[in-house]
Amino acid sequence: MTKDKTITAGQAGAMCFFMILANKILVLPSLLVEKTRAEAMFVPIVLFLIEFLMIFFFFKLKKKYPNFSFSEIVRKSCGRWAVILTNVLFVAFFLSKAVLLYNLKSIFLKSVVYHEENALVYFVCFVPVVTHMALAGLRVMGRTMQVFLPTIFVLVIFVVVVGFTGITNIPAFFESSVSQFLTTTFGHVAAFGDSVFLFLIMDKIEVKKGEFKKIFLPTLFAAIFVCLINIVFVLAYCYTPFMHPFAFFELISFVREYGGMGRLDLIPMVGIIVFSYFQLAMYMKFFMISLQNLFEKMGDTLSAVVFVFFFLLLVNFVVLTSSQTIFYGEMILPYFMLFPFVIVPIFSIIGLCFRKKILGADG
Amino acid sequence: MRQFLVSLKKTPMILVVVLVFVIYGFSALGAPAEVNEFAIVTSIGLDRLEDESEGKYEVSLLVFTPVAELNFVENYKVVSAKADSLSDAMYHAGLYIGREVGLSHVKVVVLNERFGQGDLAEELDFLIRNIDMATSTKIVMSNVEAKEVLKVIQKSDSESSIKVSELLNYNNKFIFTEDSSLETFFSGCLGPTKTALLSFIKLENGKREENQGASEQNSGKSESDNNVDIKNDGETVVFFDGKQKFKLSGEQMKTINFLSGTYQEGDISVENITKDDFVDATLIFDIVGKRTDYRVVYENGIPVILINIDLKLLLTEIQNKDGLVGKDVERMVFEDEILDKISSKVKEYVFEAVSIMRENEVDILDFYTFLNNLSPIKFKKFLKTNEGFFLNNVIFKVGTRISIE
Repeated sequence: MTKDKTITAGQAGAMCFFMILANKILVLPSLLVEKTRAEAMFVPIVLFLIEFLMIFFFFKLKKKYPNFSFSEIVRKSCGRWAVILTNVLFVAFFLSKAVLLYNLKSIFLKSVVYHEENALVYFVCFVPVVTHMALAGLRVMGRTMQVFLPTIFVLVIFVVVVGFTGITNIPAFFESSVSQFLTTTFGHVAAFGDSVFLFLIMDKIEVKKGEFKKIFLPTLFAAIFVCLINIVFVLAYCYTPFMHPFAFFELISFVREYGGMGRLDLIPMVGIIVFSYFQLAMYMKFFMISLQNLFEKMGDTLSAVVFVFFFLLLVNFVVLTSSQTIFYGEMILPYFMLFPFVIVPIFSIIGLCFRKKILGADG
Repeated sequence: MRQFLVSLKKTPMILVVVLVFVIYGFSALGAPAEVNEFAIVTSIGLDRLEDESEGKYEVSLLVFTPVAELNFVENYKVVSAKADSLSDAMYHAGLYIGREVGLSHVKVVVLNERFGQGDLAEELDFLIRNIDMATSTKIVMSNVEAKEVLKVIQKSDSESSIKVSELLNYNNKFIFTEDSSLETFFSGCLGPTKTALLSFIKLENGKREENQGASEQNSGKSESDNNVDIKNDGETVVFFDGKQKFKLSGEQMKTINFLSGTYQEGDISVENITKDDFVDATLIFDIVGKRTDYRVVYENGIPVILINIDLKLLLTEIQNKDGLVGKDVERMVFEDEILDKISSKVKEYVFEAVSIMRENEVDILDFYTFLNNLSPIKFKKFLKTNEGFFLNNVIFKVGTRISIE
């Protein structure tokens, strides 16, 4: 097992920003609007509240046990079986999320740019770069994301502002029922819960006094951006979401009719590609870390090969088409979310309750 | 060299980049140019056929074929094909051109009147599912076959398709309360009011004068003196739930626009005005500023919409029976009596617009969303207790403030 270098709070914040933002702005808004119309704008807000509750537990654990890993805390408070369970769930979680992300992004690229290319082309384009990033280590990934963060920040603001100018009418609110709203919220919970990675690498994040805000502020901004993109999409395309399946891209693509302005839709497209590379690399890295927690002697290369093998298998045989991907995301993955939203908080509460046991055993 | 190989070994990503360039770069360079593979369609004409023996639909495409020429003349031609579905007809039209049909530059879709007989929303399914079609593409209905309209566009000159879209953009700004595009049509059909508007243009025979300009000479219009003109007088087709409900004349559309808060332009004429300088004259005012405020109060559970229209007018024309009025407009003082007449005219417009919507049971201006978003509980209760078309039970009250500049 290779020892990863530690990352700063700022780098962890940058990783959080990309993790939170990337997989919620492309297909999710359209799916939400299709089910709950104008009320779709409240779904991410509800789900972010749950996500921030999970981040609150991370904050508490990190403050109490600054040098401990989550596995250590779980082992000392609940025993070895709990560590195995947690890491197995981490492995399954990151692999399943990576598959969903890859499929959605390849469907987007196929629909919008490369109509005639097959899935193998995207695989060739994505996997080597992503593997390289994951093998380079946490610190390299964190630094790269820190460099890209301001540009992406400006890009997202630009898209949101241009999107606002495209709103002509306000849709009718309160048309969907409470049960519809709750069913949709649960059905799309799979897009959330990514910040659970903070637990996995909590011993590798160096947080000095007063630096917690460096993690939370980018996370908060990412959540605000997701909500804003969703709101703009709802206001612009409330009754025709089926005509606009790719929200972040569609918000700006309407400008192409005002001849002479050029292809401004290239701007969100570049953003989407950068997001995809970063997030897929993070999923791979966290899969590798959790696999190495299970098999301590496993090296980086072998764990990367295991990821690519299972990834290729799932991508090609389980969720290849758009409808399969949506079914997988709405029907199967929500149950995986019990892990970040229920199991991890339960272990965190147990860990917080057995302070003496954890610190005493360490001492 | 050895150092280079060592650095390559250390950074294998360079190899991947080189590999990607070698595989895809050369294949991209060897691929034929896209302009030779695609026929660029600038306008689409869709005709629902009366005689369905050869197919249910006829699709006509105004195609721009990019060919390198010295004289910079753009080659447009109309190709058409018949089939039982729009996608099939489109495919066959592509076969006639010998190129793939590229729809990303389509600006206008023209429909014939027969589309009003069926469910238009269902019939246009092909267009909205086509990822290349911009949802902002203008959509318009015509009194003749769409193919004929495309031929007129093609004949008038090579730039005319752009002119037709400009005509529709003008409609959007000055005639319609809303745009007439694929997006707004479907948004209207699928919204709570299920109401959508489409612009209606007519082809009319007209005799043209000679030497009308370079563009016409270039397009070879000298072949005939009798030309067909496209007429746009603001006539509008109203669809409810995807089906044609009725047609609004340009004048009726004007009254609807008066009620709309978004519409800011237009004119207003007042007849039988007598002053020191003229008798029984008709005064025509240009609207230079218009602000429409809506307030809603519920009286016994019934919504009362209080509309306050603030108008700033400019006198632009005096039609006086006794000849020219030799006085500067700036020096004219308009008494309360004239202002009252203008106010009555405005109210007349508003109530005519309301009665059009009530008679036809369509909520063209989306009062449903306005009332629902303002107080959803009260509005839902009102809908439950009042059966039938909801606007029949809503009370409208109009207040005006007129100022003449």
